[in-house]
Amino acid sequence: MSVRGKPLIRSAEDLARAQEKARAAHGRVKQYISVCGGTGCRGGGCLEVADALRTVIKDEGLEEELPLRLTGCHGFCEQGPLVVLYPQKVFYQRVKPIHAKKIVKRTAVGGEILENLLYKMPDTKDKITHEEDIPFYSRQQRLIFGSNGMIDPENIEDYLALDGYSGLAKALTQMDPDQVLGEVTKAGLRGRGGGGFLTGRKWKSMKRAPSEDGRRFVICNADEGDPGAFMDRSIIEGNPHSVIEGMVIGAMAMGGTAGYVYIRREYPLALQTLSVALRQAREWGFLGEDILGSGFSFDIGINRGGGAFVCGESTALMASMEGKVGEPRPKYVHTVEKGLWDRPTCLNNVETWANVPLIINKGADSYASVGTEGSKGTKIFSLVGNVNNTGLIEVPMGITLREVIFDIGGGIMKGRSFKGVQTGGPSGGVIPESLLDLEVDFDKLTEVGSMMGSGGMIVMDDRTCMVDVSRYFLDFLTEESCGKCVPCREGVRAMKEVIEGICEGRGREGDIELLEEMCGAVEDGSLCGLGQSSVNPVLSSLKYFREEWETHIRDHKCPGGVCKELITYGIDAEKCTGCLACIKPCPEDCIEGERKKLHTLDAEKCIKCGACYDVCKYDAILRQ
Amino acid sequence: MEANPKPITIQLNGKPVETVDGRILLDICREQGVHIPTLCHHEALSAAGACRLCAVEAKYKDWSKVVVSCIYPVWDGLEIETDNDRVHAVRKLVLEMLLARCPDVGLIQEMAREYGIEKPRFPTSDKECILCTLCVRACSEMVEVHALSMQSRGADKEVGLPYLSDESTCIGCGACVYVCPTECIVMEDRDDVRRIWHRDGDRITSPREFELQRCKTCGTLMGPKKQLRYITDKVGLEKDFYDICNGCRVTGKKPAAS
Repeated sequence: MSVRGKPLIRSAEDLARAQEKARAAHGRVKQYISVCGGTGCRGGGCLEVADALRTVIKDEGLEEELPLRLTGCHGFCEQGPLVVLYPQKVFYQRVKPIHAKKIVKRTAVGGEILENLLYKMPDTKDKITHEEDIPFYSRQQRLIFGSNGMIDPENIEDYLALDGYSGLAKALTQMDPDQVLGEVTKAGLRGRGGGGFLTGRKWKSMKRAPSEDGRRFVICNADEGDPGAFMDRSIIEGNPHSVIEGMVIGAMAMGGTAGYVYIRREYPLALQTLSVALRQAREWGFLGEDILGSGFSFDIGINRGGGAFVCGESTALMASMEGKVGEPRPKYVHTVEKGLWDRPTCLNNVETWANVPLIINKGADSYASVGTEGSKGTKIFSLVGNVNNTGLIEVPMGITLREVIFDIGGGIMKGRSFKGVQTGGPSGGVIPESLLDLEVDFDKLTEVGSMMGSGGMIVMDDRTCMVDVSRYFLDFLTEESCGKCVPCREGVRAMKEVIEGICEGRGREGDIELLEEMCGAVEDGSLCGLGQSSVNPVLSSLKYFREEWETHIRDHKCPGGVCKELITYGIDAEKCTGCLACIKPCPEDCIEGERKKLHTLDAEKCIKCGACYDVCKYDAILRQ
Repeated sequence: MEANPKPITIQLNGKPVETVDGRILLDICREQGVHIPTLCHHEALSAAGACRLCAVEAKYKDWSKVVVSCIYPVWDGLEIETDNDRVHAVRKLVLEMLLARCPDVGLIQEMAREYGIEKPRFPTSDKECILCTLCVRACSEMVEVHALSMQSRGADKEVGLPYLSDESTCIGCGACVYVCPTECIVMEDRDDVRRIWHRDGDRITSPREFELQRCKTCGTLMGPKKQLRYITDKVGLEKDFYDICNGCRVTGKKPAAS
């Protein structure tokens, strides 16, 4: 079979030629325009921007010398839609269709920089021209994520031009399965899905486990569900072949006979790019029979999840794939021995698989030169919350939280002060300011009562209520508990109700001790990781922000100004300028006043919606 | 399991017990006369590990973990403590939660009392079903009719008909009634009709009715016609096999002329 007249790749030599050809094709153009087509930028209208750019390119007759690539996520979601002119990496942000003509004619053709589209430093207001000079990017180490801006995920040749599938060729033609396994073990790769289990060890157990009919499965977990986490989605959307390549290498090392990607249905774009990539990988010979002439055959299918958070748990995921109710089972017998259909099964997360080609390509030693003693390589985090630069970042293990939040993240929004950061999603914990210099890796995060999780990082400012944050996560977990075991189904909900009581001013002396008691039993008694780790958001908050909990219970006050039942609104007579701004948005008409005269707020009528607070420019609305 | 399971020794509450590798811990405890409370366990059905009452603490050198004994396969050198504070904390939580869910169920009250819980510290509900899934497993694994399934998730979880359908494959055998530990599935035979319904606090399903069959000879009630037909088909009996009861079949009585 051949595609568009191109030969099927049957050997490492074929691959080298195809890569050379792809590189040459890329080399013929002096520059190209990369438009971020990640989900965030799509929300900001990047498809319209891309259309406008294409039209201008066509009108100017530049289709040959100035191609446009609609790529995966560039990471800097906060500033989207993003347009980068390669290879100079001129970085334009918040681009609109009306800018298309100028970008093509003045920058691409004329070499002129459009000042108004450049990134401006939030503090100094200095403008920065090139991507790599922006602190958000310059402090990162984008080994996995860096090529996103250069790849059209629906064009396999873009991946080949960047040495794509070289790792696979090396594994299949120059190494035996044990050598591959040895490299991954030596690299110290740990599972990026949350637990941080040593990938090499998992692979070895899988390889050793007997299968009664010889079937052995390799699965990619793309059921990313933590609130605020979207790195796996962006890898598949932006660079799907890196995941496919990793899976084929893994299957070869472990003797996998079939592969699956379990991907959540709520990720339509990722599903599309993955489907296209799988088809192309098959057409080009990276999947299927006798891959690269090595005699090894393997293919990957797609399994779509139905939207249950718990199906990210390995045994629930496999039950779901088998067509059963997505409930976990105890892992006293590991899935590497008896997983999908009771056959040896290796489940790794998207990011873990994407790390594999890098390890084989660069070698374990080079890979392990990045990171800390116990955690090697880089980690992708989704940096969200009250931080200036939200987006996806890839940093070396061991970077401090302070660097992540203040250097890359650009600090707290609107100059407010930092209060805490939640890592690891609903299974993780909140980390206070005193631990900002913590070096982020699997073990350090666990030590302080949180966890790496899949890499969500929610930054919170001083207007956050830590009790409310715990309530939020327990609410999420109550919704997402499968309900099979009593401690999780009933216990987590009961804990949530106690916390809701505290938020609503019904907290009682002894509630904190009651929660601590319950946490111990829920952690010990729950069936799967969802229940066992559900206590982390509570225990970490109680550990670092106990005073705030006590204030809620004892004084019926919410220092963060979030818990409605515990706050009242008023007007600061010293600060009010009588500007009338707060009067209109009040839905209850409880603010009165005339221009340049002190306004009054009827606390009896106030429903505490906060509309006045949000519009007042003079901080004159009191919230206590 | 392997043909010749490996003999091993475990420590059960400090006492060495010889057994074989991979045996289920709960079975060993029961053999040894060690009391372990359970709610979702039935020796004739697969283990679910859902109620978590049979929690015990497993130890080995520096490692320790609370495990549920109904599904835990033992291994050489394992040390088990069945009644320490850590274990009791889990059982207490489970029973207090279940008592809050089902405050009027006698069995739960009794078990909770054993662990010193008279009244739950949490808001109570009025449910009677503890979602142990014994009924679902009995129906699927023993009767093989699959008339029941678990629905929804988390706090909304409940027992119901598969796919929320009104159509039911139920044959009225009552296996679910016999295994239900809280007696929230109710069965009543009256006027040659069997009625089965699920009672869960306010939520009472309308009874499913099954016509009962009488022996054509002596008139004894034999069971729901649907169930007898199911057995006839499944075992491959003559279609008229259940026209007469087993008693009449043994004594050779013939049906009265109709």
